[in-house]
Amino acid sequence: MIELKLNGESKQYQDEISLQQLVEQEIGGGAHLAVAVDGRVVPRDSWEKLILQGAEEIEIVQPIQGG
Amino acid sequence: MEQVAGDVFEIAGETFGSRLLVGTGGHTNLKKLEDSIRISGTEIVTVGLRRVASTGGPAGGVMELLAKLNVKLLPNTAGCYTAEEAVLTAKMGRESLDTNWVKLEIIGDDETLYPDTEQLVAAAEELVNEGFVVLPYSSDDPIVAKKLVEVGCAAVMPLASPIGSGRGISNPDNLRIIREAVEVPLIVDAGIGSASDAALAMELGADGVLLSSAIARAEQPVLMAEAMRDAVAAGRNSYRAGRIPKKLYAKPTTVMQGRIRR
Repeated sequence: MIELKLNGESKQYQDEISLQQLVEQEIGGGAHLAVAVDGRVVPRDSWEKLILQGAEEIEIVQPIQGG
Repeated sequence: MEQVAGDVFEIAGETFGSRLLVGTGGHTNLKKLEDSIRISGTEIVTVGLRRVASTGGPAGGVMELLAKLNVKLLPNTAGCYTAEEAVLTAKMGRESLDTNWVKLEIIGDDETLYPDTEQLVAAAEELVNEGFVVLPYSSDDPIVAKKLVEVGCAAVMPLASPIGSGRGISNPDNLRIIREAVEVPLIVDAGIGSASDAALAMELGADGVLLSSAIARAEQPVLMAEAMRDAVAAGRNSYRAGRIPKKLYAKPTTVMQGRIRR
């Protein structure tokens, strides 16, 4: 069991999980997503190989209307 | 109203035909947002970034709309209170939208939404060093403007008055001083309420105007977008034309010589 924080909320998973799997499972993918793990942006082409071990803080954002 | 040929608006080596930058925030109707952007003639529009869960699903609508409008997207760091938050948000904006441009905005408090100047200058310097084209939303303080230029910002964007207040230009003298103090583009950002505010900003020597609420919250947003387009162009032409000096007494426009006398 691992536990991590996704957009400020605690999440638990049975086993370690790749960032790619996490995004697909929790967000369902989508264009223009940006992801940061522990305060560092992870480019989309690195999501697959980044395996989350637990305790990471993950932010996933997207563009919205704004001034 | 057309802008004069050869009067180029350039930021960081990119040239633009329109000197009006438009925010996408505050619109409740996407069709009106689209029509407003089209009629405004703007070539640069801002967007924000938010956690996916808290926005209730994919951005879909607004991003699809913006993609077909052929405008440059300028991600902002609205909602950030520290340099650390703003730098991370800027980097996420770069990843999300594949642009190294950022409207850097760091708020000091909730009531005024005035920029936190210390955090702003620090974040600007860090982002410039990371290769960003930084367009900082700042207070209308000439010293802050100079510091932002010193750390390498591509433009300065002092406020006219508080964000969303619609109060217009509260300190025209400072904007004139900033105009004289910096050579980078000066874009008046925030507080514009009406077309005359936008025209005045341009007459004071601004290179551009960035506004959002003035269009989005107008009774007729599309009509206001058209008015803003014309006001920015008219104000620019007026500035370049060189206005007559203000005098205390009248000066006749018809010659006195040859008038009848009884």
